[in-house]
This record gives sequence, structure tokens and C-alpha cells, in this order.
Amino acid sequence: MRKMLTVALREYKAVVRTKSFLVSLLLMPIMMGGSLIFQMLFKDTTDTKDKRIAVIDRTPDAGLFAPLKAAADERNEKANTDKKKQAGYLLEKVSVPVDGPESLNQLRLELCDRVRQKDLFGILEIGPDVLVPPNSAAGSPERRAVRYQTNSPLNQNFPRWAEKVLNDAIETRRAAQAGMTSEQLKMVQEPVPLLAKGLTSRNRQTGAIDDGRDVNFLASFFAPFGLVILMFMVIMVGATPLMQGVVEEKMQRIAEVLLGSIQPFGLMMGKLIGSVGISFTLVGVYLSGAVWAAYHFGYAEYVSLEVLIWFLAYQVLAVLMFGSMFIAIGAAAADIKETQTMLMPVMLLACLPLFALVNVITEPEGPLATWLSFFPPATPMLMTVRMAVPPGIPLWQPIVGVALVLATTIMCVWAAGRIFRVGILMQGKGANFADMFRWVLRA
Amino acid sequence: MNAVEIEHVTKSFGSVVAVNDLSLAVPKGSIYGFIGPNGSGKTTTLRMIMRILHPDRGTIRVLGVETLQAANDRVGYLPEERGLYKQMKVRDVLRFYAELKGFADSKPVIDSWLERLGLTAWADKKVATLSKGMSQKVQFIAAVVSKPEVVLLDEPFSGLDPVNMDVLREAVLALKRDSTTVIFSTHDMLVAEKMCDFLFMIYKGNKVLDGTLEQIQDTYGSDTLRVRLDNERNGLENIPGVSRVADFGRYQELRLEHGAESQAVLQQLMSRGVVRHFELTRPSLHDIFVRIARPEPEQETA
Repeated sequence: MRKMLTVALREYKAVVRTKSFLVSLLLMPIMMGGSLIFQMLFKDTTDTKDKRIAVIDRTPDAGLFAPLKAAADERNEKANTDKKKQAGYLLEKVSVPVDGPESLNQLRLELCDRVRQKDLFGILEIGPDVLVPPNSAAGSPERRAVRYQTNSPLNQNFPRWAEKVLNDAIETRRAAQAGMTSEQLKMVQEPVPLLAKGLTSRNRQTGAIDDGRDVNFLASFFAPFGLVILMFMVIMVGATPLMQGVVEEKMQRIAEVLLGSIQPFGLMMGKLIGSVGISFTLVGVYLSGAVWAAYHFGYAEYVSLEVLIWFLAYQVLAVLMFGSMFIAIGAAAADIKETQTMLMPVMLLACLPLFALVNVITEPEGPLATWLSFFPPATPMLMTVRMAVPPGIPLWQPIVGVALVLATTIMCVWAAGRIFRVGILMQGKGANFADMFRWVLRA
Repeated sequence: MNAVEIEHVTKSFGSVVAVNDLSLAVPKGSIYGFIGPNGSGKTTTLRMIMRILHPDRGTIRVLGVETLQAANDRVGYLPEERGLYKQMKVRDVLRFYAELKGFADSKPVIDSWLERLGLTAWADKKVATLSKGMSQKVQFIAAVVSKPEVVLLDEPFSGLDPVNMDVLREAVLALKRDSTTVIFSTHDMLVAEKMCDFLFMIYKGNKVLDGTLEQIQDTYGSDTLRVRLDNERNGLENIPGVSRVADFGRYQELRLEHGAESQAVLQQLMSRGVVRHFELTRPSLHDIFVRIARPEPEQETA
């Protein structure tokens, strides 16, 4: 046991004392929050170049171009005076010379060629029947729609704007047909807001009834999301050095010296304990930071002590489970390059919960989330998520989950111990999964 | 009392028998030399004494204890391939290996060994910065830092310059003076002849020699002529009664056929020219090694 701790301490120091650990400690949150921060920093730095758009108004009186043009002019003026500059829309009215599908197609082709030459940004085509009352039999869906053609389909700024402006204009027309003013129409259409609230509870000290707080969707999404990302990170940072360490010991022939002093299983357990220590260091830094921030900024109710305790239990098991897989791969491979291919299936297992994450957070009690969270490699992350999402899950589920993960972990550690014992002294040639399987089964 | 007792030990890897029915007793406080060609089973035997490998059959008792479990803290080991963590400092590596042997108060021992091997200035340098000779000496300290009663050294002198070789040889003799049992393997027959109380040779997994140098040489008898000739050295093997010739340049060793008369050979030599030196002697360890390990040509082609 003493020797195991000696190994554990060396492993811990070998990782934690390196510069790369410190860098990853600092860099991880930056990378995780990176895209968020980037968007916030650069949200005002949009493309402000004016966009020239051809508009074909095919309605009988071509009456929709005018309100569109007016809205665009207003917008352009605002864009010029505003500090926050945005792209101006320069609308170019185009009419179909002769009515008929052929001349229309010809026109579209010409305009599209201009788009290709970057003379135009897009083509907006208002269908001839958009003003026909929706309940009438006249008109085809194609003729009742607004068409937009562009070479930049992912830039949704203009089509969204145009859709809104056109629909407003069409609604006003339809209201007039129905004998309503646009004010009346607005009044009719005014939506009622829905306020999402937490549960009402009785204050234990004062006895008064406390109303539930407003639900912060972002916060209630990010608490479980953050926990999963943290657990994933901990597995990667805590367990990957194990594999590299074992390969180093093999390649530098250190393993033989070590095995002259300590049993293979003890050596492996020492390594695993060391990596659990590393994971606690990471979790300690991040969780205390996150909990402090939550209390400081008034999101304390999204942090539950119970969930945190379960998190720690699952984190230890996850590091042991994946750590033993990493060790087995390290022991079986002849060099670092060989580990890469064998790593794929293990990485897939580790990433599985991330693939299902959004589904699990939004429907923590759905069948997919429930079943997947009982699949041991995914259990640590998914069970924690499901507990972190209100209202939580029945207590038996995390308990059964822990039991399953514990059993799997013991099995993984046992199997890895056997692979480790054989593989650690092998030189020159790596083993494949079939070899590893044989080593496990061999007495 | 024997430090190591090996009885009828066999170890195979797949279909290859690495060690076959080996029995060996290493007396306490002795220096025991393991010799044999590469791949003959030396390292496997050492690893089994270390309990890194377990024999398929037979028993191994180290310091009177036979167990398959628990690595032995009273045995130190210098493997053939040097293994040190490159990114650790010399002192930290040595302390780690001492602690792995359950030896807590290692600082004075480490300091004295570093000084004895001239490495004090490197104590706080990373292993990666050491030269080959230096890291070999550090590896040697790692093997003895826990003051083991038995030390196994797999090729401790290979690749060392003469100065470092003397330093390390003196260190091994110092271990013996502290009544440590030393087992080492070597390819250097002169070192083995000079240093070892007992010699053990393994060839293709089988024990072929075991005993003191004198005992071993006695079994071969005085069948070697050491001669120095002034002129013609060609065709010596054609002299009747000579089975093999080893030409060392300044002198030649002639092996006599069984029952051959040395004086008859001398007459033949004298008839060819001036004989400056003529000595009937026992074969050297080198010669014995080569006789065993190098099969006769006809056997080789058979």
C-alpha cells in the first residue's frame, strides 16, 4: 500500500508539476467559453458593406415594392446615422418584360449571373398571388410565396428582414380588405407573454409563502452542461497521462526496474490513484471557482450540494474506469503512435454522452436519456446531468448507476491489470485487441 | 547458507524454452558471474530471481523465502536496458526507487553513493541531461540505494569507458566487502575471471558450467598449448594432434586433441622454425565459452 502511494505521488507530481498542466488548467475554460467570448467581443463587427438586391414584384399592381423600398430607405438612413453600423440594402426594382414562364426563367438566369459576378447580393421575387386571401382556392403555393435566391445562403440577415417587412405590408393590405385599420389589427394580434417561474415554497423562517423565481433558461441549461464538460475534461486530463506514462516506462525500460520493486497490480493501482488525485486537483479548482461564481452572482439555486457529491463519486469512478482502459492501451502498444488507433473506440465511449447531451438535458426523463444513463461508460456523465436538471430523478437511479459503474470499473481494472502484467515487459511489437483479450483470459 | 537457491526451474515463452530444468545455488556474500551468449536465458533467470517472471516449474528461494507474490525489498536489480525517468532529477529518481523498496531514509545513502561515483554535481540535474556512462552509474545507484542483501546486475559494465568501468568494478567489490551477495551477467570474460568467486554459464536454456574458475578449468584439463613463434604461423591446424588454433597475434593458442602428446606437437613446431614460448596450460574462460557456444563448423552446417 505504501509503495502504491509512492507510485501515486510520483505520477501526480509528474503531471501536476509540468507547465502543460498549468497551461491546460488556464486554457480549458478559455477554450470552452471561447466561442461565447468571441461572439460577445465581435458581435458589433458585422459585415457593413451595402447589399444590392434585385426585387421582382409579380403582384398584379406591383404594390409591395413601395413599402419594402420605404422600409429599406428608413433602415439605411438609420444605419448611416447610427454608431452601430449595419449593412444598407439597395433595392433594385426589376419587372418581367413579358408574362410567361420562359421570360421569367430568362430573367432569373440573367439576375443569377449578376449574383455570380457579385454585382448583386440576392434576388427577391414576390409571388403574384401573395395577396390572394389564404382561404381562397386560387393560386398555387409557389405563386403565393416569396422567393429568395442568393449565393450566400447562410447569411440570413436580409431574408429575415424582408420576410418581416413583406408580411407586415401584406397583413396591412389584408386588414384593409377585411375593413380593419392597421391599429385595430395590431390590437387583435398583440400576443400575451408567458412567464416561466420556479415552484412556490413556504419560507421556513418567516412562514410566508415565497413566490417562485423567474426561470433563467440559460443558467438552468449551463449548470448541467458545465458539469458534463468538466467531467469529460477531468477524464481526459486525468487519464491520458496514464497512457503516455505507461508507454514511456515501456520504451525507456523503466517498467522492469519498477516491477523489481512492486507487483504489477500495485504499480497500476498506484498510477490510477495518482490520476484520481490529478482529477481532484482539476475539479477542486474549477468547481470551487464555479460555486463561488454561482453564489457571487446570485445563481446559487442552480448549484445543489447533493448533485455535487454525486458528481465527485461518479468522477472518481469515471477516472478509474477510463484510466484503466488507457493503461491497458498503453501497456499493449509498442509506442505512442500505436496508441492512437487503439484509442479510437475508447474515445468514442468517452464522447458518447456528449453526442446525446442536448437531448438528455432537455428531456432528462425521456427513454433515450434514461437508458443511455444506465450504460456504464456513459453513466457518470449522463446520470450527473439528469440529476442536475430540475426536478431531478428518483434516487434509485443514481444508486443503481453507481453500482453498475463500480462493477464495470472493477472489471476494467482487473482486465487492465492482466493486460498490464503481460504488456509492460513486451518490447518491439504492439498487441491488437485480440491479443489483449487473450491476455485477459489467460490464467 | 545460500542467498539464492534455484531448483529444477523451467520457463518457456510459447514454444521457446528459455530456461530448462535449471538448478543453482548462490552462496551468501559471494560474487556470482552469469555468462552465456545473447538470448541464452541469462536475463530470464535474473528476472525470475527478481520475481518479475514466474517459473513454469521448479522453485526459487531468495534469502530463504519462496514466494510468487510480493516483490522482494531485500533484492536490488539493475536491468540490462537502463530505465530512468528522463524528466526527473537524479536525486528524485533515486529517492523514488528507494521508497519503492520501502527504504525511507535514503538521503545519506544517496549522497554517499553519488559522491563515490563522482556524480554529486549532477544530483539536481534532470536525467535527460546525463551522458550514457553517467546514467548507467545512476542506474547502478538505483539498484543498491535501498541497501539490498542481494544485488542482481544485468551487464553492469557494458558500454563503459575504462575509467568508469574501474569505478563501477570498485563499487561492486565494495558491496562484497559489505557482505552483499552480487550476481552479475557479463560478456567480458576477463572481468568474469578476475571478479567472480563462482561462474555459471547458460547456453540455450541449459546450465553448461557452474563452479569456481579452477573447478571449471579442471574439467577441461591442461589441453591448451600457448606458443609464440618467430615465423610461419600458417597451417598450424594441420599439425597432428592439434584440433583448433586461436591466433592472438603475439601468441597462438593450440587446443590438443584428446590423448595427444604435447611434446610431439612441440617437435613439429620446432621443425617449422624458432619457438620463443611454449606453455602447457588450462584453457581460458574465453576459450571455454567459445568451445561451448560456437558449434563446430560441420555441426553448424548440419
